Amino acid sequence: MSRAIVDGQNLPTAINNASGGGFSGVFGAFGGDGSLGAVVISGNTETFGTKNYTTLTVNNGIVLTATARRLLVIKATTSITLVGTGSIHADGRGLEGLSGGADGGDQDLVGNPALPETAVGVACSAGGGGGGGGSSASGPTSLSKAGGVGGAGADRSDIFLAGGGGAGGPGAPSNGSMSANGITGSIGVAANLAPDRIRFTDTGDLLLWPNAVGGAPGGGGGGGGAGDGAGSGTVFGGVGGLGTLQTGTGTGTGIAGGDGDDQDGGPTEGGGGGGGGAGGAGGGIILIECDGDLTIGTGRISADGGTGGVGGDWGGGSSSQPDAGAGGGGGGGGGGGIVRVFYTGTPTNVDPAHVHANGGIGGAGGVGVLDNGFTSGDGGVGNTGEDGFTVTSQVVL
Amino acid sequence: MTDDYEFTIDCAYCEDPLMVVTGANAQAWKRDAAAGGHAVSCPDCGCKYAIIDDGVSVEMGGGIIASNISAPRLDSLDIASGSATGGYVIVIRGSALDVGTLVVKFGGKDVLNITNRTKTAARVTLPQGQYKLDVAEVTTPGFIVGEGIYGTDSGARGVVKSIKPFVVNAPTLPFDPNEEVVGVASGSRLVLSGSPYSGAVDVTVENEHGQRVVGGAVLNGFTYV
Repeated sequence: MSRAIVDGQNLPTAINNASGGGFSGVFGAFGGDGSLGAVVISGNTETFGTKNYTTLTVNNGIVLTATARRLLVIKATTSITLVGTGSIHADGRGLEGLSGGADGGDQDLVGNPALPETAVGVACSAGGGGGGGGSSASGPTSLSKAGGVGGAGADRSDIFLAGGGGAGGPGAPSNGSMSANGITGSIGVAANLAPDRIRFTDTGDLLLWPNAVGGAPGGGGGGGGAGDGAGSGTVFGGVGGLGTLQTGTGTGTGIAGGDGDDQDGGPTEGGGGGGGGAGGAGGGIILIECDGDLTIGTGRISADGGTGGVGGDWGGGSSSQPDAGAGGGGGGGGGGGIVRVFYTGTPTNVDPAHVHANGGIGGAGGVGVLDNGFTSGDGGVGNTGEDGFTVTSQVVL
Repeated sequence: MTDDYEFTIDCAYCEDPLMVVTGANAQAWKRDAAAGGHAVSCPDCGCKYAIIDDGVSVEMGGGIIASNISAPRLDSLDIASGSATGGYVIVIRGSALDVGTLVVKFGGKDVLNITNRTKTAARVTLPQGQYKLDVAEVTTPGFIVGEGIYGTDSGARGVVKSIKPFVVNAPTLPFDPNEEVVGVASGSRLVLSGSPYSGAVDVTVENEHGQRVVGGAVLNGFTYV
């Protein structure tokens, strides 16, 4: 359930009593000027900024989406109709996760160490998944590596974020004499959640919030630990998932972590750990003013956080080895964004089931393996992101 | 300022209407286009269009147009396998193959030539092939990217493209199962597995608008033999 945006206030009264004598003083004409005319959308459409329609119709099966990191303000002088599953969304259009961790490889085919034997899989930037552990299979000593830590969802003091991202799931430990643990991801940070920035006052509006970008991305999942490699082969951990700027009709799902790798397929190697999944992107921001009827069919108006990426699976080493690789953790869900819906006419399905800014769910952990009585576990599930903010209200002009 | 401007955007490939606008102000749409406007995608074929200013003033009857910004999509090849020597022509089929500067790659290598481009097809000349070799064991590490290699049993030769995975460009012959491969410059050695190579490569198409995640590649779609 999305959180209420104005606690203890009579919202319509607050809006209608805003400075300048109501909406015209703060927002300009409610519902805009209709200069873009009557628009019927039958193709998936991406846009941003302020759109002034007379009527807007989004047909069944079609989505109108906000460009990532950009505000979308839809104004209509007459009506807005979402037919069937037609929807308007900014799901996953807030902040995205960044780079994933490098794989936790130990040696390549030319025999050069890719990482020191005691190193863990490489950690990563915000929202990306940690790298999976590798194994020093052909080194002078046989030491498996831990999976890397997943990146934090966000740590920004210069921007407004609505819902915080969920923590990434832990990478699983690899069980055996020389195996290593995975390391959990980090929670997304809901920075700058100042109450005075989320209220309607006589001088402020959502449009005036500084640097508002919606929700924070979820934390990246941790990389899975590597299995022991007693043989001469090479074992690589999986690459951490990469957070990407969401476009098209996508909803900000983090990229899955890479599977671990048993490069040589030899008889004595354990498998590498799976990389952590990237955190889901945060939800964006949608503001709607409709001077007339607002009809939602079975679709939605939403700014949900994206789903965390799935952790990578173990690396498929030898079935005779006790120390197989473990699964990477799932990425955390993105934090919810902001949805504000004002209308003057008759609402249809303008309710929490159809208008929401929910936190994204965490991604599933990657698969480990049970082998020779030793269990290298599955990666942990990423945590759900924090809900964002919604407000819906019928306005009396 | 009049509000009688109207237009329709249809998919160039499916011919389905994607956006219908009536009772609009042309100047408002020009301003919207200048500010970033709308990008519309076909739900059936995925082709994409940006709404842009047509460069003609409203007084002269101007407004906006739909610019095709589709990344190409690849659906099929008329031939699924061929010699690793390359140099022969096959036909690729898909959509938006006529948009922008088309780049076609087999196993990550550019084709040698592209001709007869239409919305849904193009003729391409294949580059030399490559094999991804399955390594059982590296007995003497130290292979170098770019060095020549040879198989001690088959006599096959090639050039190392990458170490991980072990990919060989321009092979002269297939390699034998379990044979030893030697690096000419480094003297490095490895032993191939019992199923030593796959000549299957991905085929991709892209242009300045990108490469489609779905429909942009035919995975293992062509096999060098």
